Amino acid sequence: MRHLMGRYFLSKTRRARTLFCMTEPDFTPIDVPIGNSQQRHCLRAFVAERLSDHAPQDLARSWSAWDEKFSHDLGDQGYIGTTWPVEYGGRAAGQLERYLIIEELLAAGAPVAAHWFADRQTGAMLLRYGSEEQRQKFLPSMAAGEIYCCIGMSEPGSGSDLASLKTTAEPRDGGWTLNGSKIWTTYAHKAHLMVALVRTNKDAANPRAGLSQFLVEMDMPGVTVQPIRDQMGDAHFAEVFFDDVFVPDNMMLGKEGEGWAQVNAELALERSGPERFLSSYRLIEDSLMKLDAGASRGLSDLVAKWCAELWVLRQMSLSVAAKSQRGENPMVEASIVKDLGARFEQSVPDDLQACWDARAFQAPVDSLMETLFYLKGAAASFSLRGGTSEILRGIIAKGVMA
Amino acid sequence: MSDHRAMLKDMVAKFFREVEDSLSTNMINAETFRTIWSEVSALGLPDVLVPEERGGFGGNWSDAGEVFQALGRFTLPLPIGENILARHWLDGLEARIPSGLGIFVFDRMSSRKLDAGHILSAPMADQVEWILSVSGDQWKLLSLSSSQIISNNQLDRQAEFLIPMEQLDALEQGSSAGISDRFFHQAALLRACQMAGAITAMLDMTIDHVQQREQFGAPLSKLQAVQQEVALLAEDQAAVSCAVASACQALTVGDATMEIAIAKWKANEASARASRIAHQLHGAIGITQEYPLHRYSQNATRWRSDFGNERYWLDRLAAFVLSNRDRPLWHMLTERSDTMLAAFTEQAS
Repeated sequence: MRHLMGRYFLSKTRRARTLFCMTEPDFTPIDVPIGNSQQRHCLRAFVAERLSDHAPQDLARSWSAWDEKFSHDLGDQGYIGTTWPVEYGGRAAGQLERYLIIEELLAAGAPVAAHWFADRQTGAMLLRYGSEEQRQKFLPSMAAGEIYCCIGMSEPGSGSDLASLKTTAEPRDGGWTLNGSKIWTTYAHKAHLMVALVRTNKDAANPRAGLSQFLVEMDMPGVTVQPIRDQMGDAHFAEVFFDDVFVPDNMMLGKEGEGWAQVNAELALERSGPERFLSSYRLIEDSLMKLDAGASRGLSDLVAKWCAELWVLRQMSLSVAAKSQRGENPMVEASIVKDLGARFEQSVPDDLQACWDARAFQAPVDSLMETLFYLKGAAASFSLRGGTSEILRGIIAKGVMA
Repeated sequence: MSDHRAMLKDMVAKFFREVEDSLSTNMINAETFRTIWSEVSALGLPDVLVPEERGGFGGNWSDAGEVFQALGRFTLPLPIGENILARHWLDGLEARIPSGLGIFVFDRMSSRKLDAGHILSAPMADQVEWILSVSGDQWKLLSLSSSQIISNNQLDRQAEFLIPMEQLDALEQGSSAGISDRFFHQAALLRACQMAGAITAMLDMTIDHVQQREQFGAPLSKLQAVQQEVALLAEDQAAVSCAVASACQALTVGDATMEIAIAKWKANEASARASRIAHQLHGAIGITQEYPLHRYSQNATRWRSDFGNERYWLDRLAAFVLSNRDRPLWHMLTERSDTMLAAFTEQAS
C-alpha cells in the first residue's frame, strides 16, 4: 500500500484548491427575461403560417434545409442580424433576443440554413474584426437574407487538427493568391461568401501563428465547388478548390497572422446555441402529438426523459447565452453544452426506435417513421460538426484542470 | 449571482470546510456535536428560509440552495438541511419554531417504518430534540428526548435510529391541504442540491488526483483516455448544478413541481455515473477507508434513494408531460420559463 503515502498531501492540496482556485464550470441560471412573450408570439404565428404546408419529415431538416425565399422573408421581418447595429441593417437587439428568435425557428423546424452562418457567426466576425468597407459591403444584404455565407475551415488533411491546414495565400500586387482546398464546407455550393482560414506564413515557428482569415467571394475565377452527397442522399456540404484565386488586400478579415485567435472566438459562437440540442426536437413533438393515451412504460419513460433533458440543456445553454450577453467568452461551458446536447440529440431517434410500437401511435405513422429514420442517419454528424466530441472533451478537461 | 448570495456561499464553504477539517481526525461525539451546532446556530443557518420578521435570515430558495449544495460538498455529520426545511415549513404553517435541532419525517417514507417506529438515518439523529411529522394533510410537532431514541446500527458517522413516533408528545398539530406533496418535493430538492455538492466534491478530488498521480512517467491528466473521462464527469457536475440551481430559482417565484422532478431525476441518474468515473480515476486509493472519496460517493448513493428514485420521478414527469399535450412540449417549456423569469425580474425590482 505504498501508493497510499501521498494521501495526506492530496487532501491538503484539495483544500488549497477549493479555497483559492475554483475551476468548476459556472452554470448560474439565467435571471433576466429572454425577450418578451409578445415577440415569441408574433414569431410563432409568422412561422406557423409559413410552414403550414411543410411535411413533418421536411421540418426535421431545419438548419440543414436551404430555402432562400424563407430567409428573404425572415430578413424582411427583421429576424436576421438582429444584434447588429442599425447602420448595418440590424436592430441593435441583445443576444438574448436573438436567442429567442433562433430557438423558435429551430423548434418549429424552419428551413434556416441559407442565412444561418451569416446570422450566427460571419456577421459577428465582421463586426469584431472587419473593416468599415467590409461591413458596409456585406452586412446590410446579409441582414436582408440575400447574401449567404459559408465557413472554410476543414481541409482534406486537416479535420480536428485544424492548425495543420495547408491552403496558402501568397502575397502579390494588391492582394493575395490562394491555392488549396476546403472540405465538408456546409452549403459552399450555394453560398456567396466564404470566410476562409488559410496559411499566410509557411515559415512561422508555430503552425497556429501563420494563419489568417479572408473573405472569399465564391464567384471569383479559380474557385470551383463540388457538392458532396451524404449517406441520406442530401448535398448539404461540399469540397471547394482554390486555383490561383486572387483575393484583394481589402478582403483580409482582421489581422495577418491572427487567424487562429479569430477562429477560436468564432467557434465559441457556434457551440452553445439551441441548435446544439434541438436537432431532434421535431421527432419529439411529432411523437408526443401522435402518442395514444395508454403509452407503454418504455414510451412514457422516454417522453419524461425528453422533457427533462430538454429543460436542463436549455437552462445550460441560456446560462451561457446570458454570459455572452455580458461580454464573457465561456469556452468551457459552451463545449459542455455542445457535447451533452449532441449526445441527447443522438439518443432521441435511437431510444425511440428501441421502444417503438406502431400501435402506440395514431395512424398513419409513415411520416413519423420517416422522420425517425432520417434522424437516425443524420445523427452521426451531430457529434462531428462544429468540433467533435473528442476535441470538445479535450477542451473541457484542460479547462477544468487549468 | 447576487452579491449577498455569493457572500453566503463563501461563508458557508469556509465554515463547513473548517468543521470538516476539525472532524477528520476525531469521530464526532455529543460534545463536539454541541460545539458545532452552537456555531451553526450562531451563523443563523437553521433560519436561512425563515423571514426576517420572525428573526430569520430571510433568504429565498436560491440562497438555501447554496447552503444545501455546500452540505453535499463538505461532509458534515449534522442534519442541517433537514433542520432548515422543518423550520421553513413550521413558519409556513404559522406554528412555533422550537430552538434546538429538529428534523422532519414523512409518513410516506413507508419503507423505513417498522412496527416499533420510524427508522431515521439522519446523521446525529440521536441529538434531535423535535420532529415535524407529516402524514397526508396532517402535521404534528413532536418533542423527544434522547432516552426515547433507540440506536439501531452505528455505522461510521451515519447512524440509524429507531424513533417510537406514537409515544411522543405533540407540542402542536394541525392540518393543511397538499402539504405532503409540497414538502416532499422540497425535500427532494434538498437532496438534489446535496447530490450536486457531492458530485462537485468528487470532481474536485478527481482533478487533483489525476494531476498529482504519476504513471508512465507523467501525471494521469496527460493521458487522453483520462481527460475524456474527466470531461464526462465535469459535464455531469455542470448539468446537475444547473438543474438544481434552476429548480431553486423556479421555487423562489412559484410552482416548481416539474423543475424539481427534473432536478432530482437528473441528480439521481448523473450521480451514479459521476461516482463510477471518480472511483475509476482514483484507482485503489479511492476505495480505502482512509481516503475521503467514499464519503461523497456513498452519500450520493444514499441520497439517490431518498425522496424519489429515477422510477418515481420519471412516472411523475411522464404523467405531467402526457397531460399537457394540448400544446407542443416546446410551448409548455418556454411558457413556464418565460413566466418564471418575468416573475423573478419583477420580484427582484
